[in-house]
Amino acid sequence: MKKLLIAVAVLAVLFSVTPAQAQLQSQSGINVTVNVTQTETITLTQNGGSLTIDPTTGQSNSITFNAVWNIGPANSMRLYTYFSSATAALSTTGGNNVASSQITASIVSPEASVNGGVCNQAPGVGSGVIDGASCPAVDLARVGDSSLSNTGANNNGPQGGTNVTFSLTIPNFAAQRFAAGAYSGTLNAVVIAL
Amino acid sequence: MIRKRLFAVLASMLLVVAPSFANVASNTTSTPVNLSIAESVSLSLSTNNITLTTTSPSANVTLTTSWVLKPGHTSGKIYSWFTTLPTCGSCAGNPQITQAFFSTQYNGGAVTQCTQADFGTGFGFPTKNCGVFTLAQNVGTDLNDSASTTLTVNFNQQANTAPVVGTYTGGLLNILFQVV
Repeated sequence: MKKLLIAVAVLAVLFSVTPAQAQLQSQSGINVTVNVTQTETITLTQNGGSLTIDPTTGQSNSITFNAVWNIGPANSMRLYTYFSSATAALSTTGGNNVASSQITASIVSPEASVNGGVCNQAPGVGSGVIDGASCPAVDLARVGDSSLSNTGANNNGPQGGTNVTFSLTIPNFAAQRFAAGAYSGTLNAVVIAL
Repeated sequence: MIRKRLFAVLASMLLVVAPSFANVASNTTSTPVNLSIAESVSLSLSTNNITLTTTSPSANVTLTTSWVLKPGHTSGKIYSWFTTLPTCGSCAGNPQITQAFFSTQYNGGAVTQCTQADFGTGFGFPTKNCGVFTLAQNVGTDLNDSASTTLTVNFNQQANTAPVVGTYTGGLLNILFQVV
């Protein structure tokens, strides 16, 4: 009898049933969009002050441009230099002009050099560069160089920057027969990643 | 039945990478460019020595004038005058050939005796001034140019009482090119 009671108790324990609870759920999805943009900078500076053309030789002094950059993949870093006007690159207050086509540039960069390139180029690159009043463009770096080697990530310009030496010449100066006067103008420069 | 269901977040991860490396431009630098050309005029002669003789009393000298000017000038002129007359050092009394025996012409034009009065310019020698020539070029607009002019110096032995026969030296005829 006693054994029977124990058995019944055990069975009672074994067969105790927790009543099932109903589960309530609600589900929704969230679309997530992330815009990742690269911060890219190119900084150009000019050392050497102004360009002064000697009227006896037609040759100017030299100045130096320096460029540093932090950009994504690019094929080249190119320096563009240009005058404000093709017909009056230099002018006097009396209205006498020197056209940009009468001026040539000599440019030396680590990647390329130009000697006596006429400043009447039309590169068609925008960014303020004036077609017809531009000196020949030169590459500061090209893909594959250590400063443009990353094709999938940012590239930093070389430590200390890339230097470019620049000067102007008016060839055959005496034969140009310029009027006397104080001529002035502005040479603008910009570096564009292509 | 225990139904466990993980709460899943359906996330559509769209990573939009917008590479902006194409045509990134630097700042623009501006460098002043200067060229200063001073005004100047110059005169050169084909010869600084002429000899006139009884049988060959004329001599030509080519004058080359050049100028680099600002706008605003009105004319370019060539002046000539004697400061020293030729003298015969080996003749008795060291006679001179006076300015009355000399005349000038420019480009074969009008003959001007070297006895002219004051030019009114602050230079020259009144009574010994010869001819004045005005360049054909408009130096007010033709600002950088040159011109060639032929000056003829004549000795007119018949102008006055003929000088004593001899060699007369040391005469100095001045030539000046002026732009005003």
